[in-house]
Amino acid sequence: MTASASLAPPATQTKHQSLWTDALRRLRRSSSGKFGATLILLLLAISLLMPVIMPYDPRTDGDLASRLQPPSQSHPFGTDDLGRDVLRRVLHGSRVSLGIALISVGIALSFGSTLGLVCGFLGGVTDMVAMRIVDIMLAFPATLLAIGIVAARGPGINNAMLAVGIVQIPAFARLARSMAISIREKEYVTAARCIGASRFRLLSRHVFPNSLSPIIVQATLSIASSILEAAALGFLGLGAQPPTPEWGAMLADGYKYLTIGAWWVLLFPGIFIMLAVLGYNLLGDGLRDALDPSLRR
Amino acid sequence: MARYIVRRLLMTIPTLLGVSLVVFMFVHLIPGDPARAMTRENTSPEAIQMIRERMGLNKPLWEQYIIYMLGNDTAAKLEYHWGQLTGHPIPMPEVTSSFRGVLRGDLGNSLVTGHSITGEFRVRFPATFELAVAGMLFAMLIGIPAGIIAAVKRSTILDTASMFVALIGVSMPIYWLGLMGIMLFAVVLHLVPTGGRLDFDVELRLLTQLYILDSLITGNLQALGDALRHLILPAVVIGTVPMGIIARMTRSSMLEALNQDYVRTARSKGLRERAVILRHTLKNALLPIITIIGLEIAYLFSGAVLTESIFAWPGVGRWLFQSILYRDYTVIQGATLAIAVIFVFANLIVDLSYAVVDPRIRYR
Repeated sequence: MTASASLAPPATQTKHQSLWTDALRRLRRSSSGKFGATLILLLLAISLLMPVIMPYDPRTDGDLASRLQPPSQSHPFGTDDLGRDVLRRVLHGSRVSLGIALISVGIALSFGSTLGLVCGFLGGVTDMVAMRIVDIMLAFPATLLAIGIVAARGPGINNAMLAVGIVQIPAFARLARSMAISIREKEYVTAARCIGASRFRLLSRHVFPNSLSPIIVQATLSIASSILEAAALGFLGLGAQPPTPEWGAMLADGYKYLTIGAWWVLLFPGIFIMLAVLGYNLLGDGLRDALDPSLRR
Repeated sequence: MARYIVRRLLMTIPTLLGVSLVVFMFVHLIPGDPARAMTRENTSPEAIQMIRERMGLNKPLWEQYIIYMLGNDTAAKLEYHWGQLTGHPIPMPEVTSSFRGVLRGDLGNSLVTGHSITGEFRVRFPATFELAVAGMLFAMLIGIPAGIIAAVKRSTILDTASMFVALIGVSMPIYWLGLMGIMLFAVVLHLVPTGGRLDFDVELRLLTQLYILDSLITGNLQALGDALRHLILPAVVIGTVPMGIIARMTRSSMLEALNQDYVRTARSKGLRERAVILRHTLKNALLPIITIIGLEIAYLFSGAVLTESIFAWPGVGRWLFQSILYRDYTVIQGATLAIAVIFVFANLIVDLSYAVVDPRIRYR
């Protein structure tokens, strides 16, 4: 009695973990995945720790006496047009920029994959109508659609997140749908159906978990493009509004001082955008190889 | 082949109708309504009502859509005949404006300048087209060879280096690259101008609005050099992301093809490596590369909003962005619709080019 009770749980646990531990082991071996993960962890650590170790209020920051100073010991990244320390703003900006990207991917992931899974699983008229709508969304270039949505709803950080999220929905919907279509024909789904599992149970316990790995890869790569889109909106003045330290908006501030050669105001926010995007792209590539060994070359 | 083209053309009709509906609804997504958004806060309600009537916003939505698509005159005739048919005859409605409708190529007039949107689009589109083609050429000329070399020299330093450059390209915020490019090459080194398409003191007789082509036709070498100097930096900037994507796609597609039996056959019958790579492998690896190039054309149009704004390039992207700043809703509507239609047709051409490259697709 005691023996069977103590044996049963570990058996299921090993089985449950195997895919993910296996993937993690492969991810650790891929140099691009490791490099990407390190970059992201660093940026996430910065964004989480900055408010604690170096509190910052963008509304009161500024010292007009020391405006547009080139990098020096006291200001390693120089100062901007209001005399604000660029390093401090760039570091605090990681919270804003990564936050926008993560929330918008959250929106796209939850709406897109639910829509795709349900449509692919049910098929029929629902599927056809939803996929035509997705086709129409895909007929607009992404940045343009995001700009349009923000233009209609008014500039601001919330609308920017919403816009970037909506733009990414079709990618998740298409992917989840194709996964659901292939999984619903699998034998284990038929078996579950035979023992009387409800549609909801089939979807939530069988189709959803088995389609997770490509969706996770897509989500990682989507965070990369969301960072770019959100910063583009910020740069165009449609995203985060001053004085919020958002990377794209900081570039827009620096734009005005381009011709007088104040390169530091532009260089550093851009490098951080690129590093963050590079990190998620590398991690996404690494995850794709780790989660799907068949794709490995 | 003809059957395939016709079927594929018919399939674009519902998409285009959907696109027009979305673009039309766009104005109605604006909180409040466009008439209020256009005016100052203290404008009297009567004045706003007047603007609303002038813009036709007081009519039911479906009627506004019909007018937008078919024009005022056709919509009026429809209303008259509908009255006759249903037994409630009405006098022929008076046509107050000469708007001819989207289906007849009339996108209306700008709310700010009053100019015809279709006319403005005709002048601005060639600028965007020239930039997009130059950017795509840059992306293909660098991206495809880089991908081929990476695949052929797999797991060597050449592979790692070219794929790292490609990944940097994919991760590049192009607006930032543009700004840094202007800073370095225009402000510091004075190699290229900071923006625009042609210097003010250079004269060029315009035939096609494509400056490079026009200066070649008229044999105007001074204008050609100047236009190229203006074009090169924006083209490299707009082509950077597609370059990275094309290089990555070329590499993975080439690797797949290199593993095929026909490549081994080609090698074993003693063909030179050059012929094996170019004639046997690349030709078979081309389909995904074409797909990605087609998709990137769309990207070039949306990337144009950013690149054109930075380089003061007088194309559709910059026009669209300025209209957003001025809240010129009819221009936003018209230009977005025009870009989306071009996008749908770009995808169509990609699909049709598959059929040319891969004969199996025609018979599906």
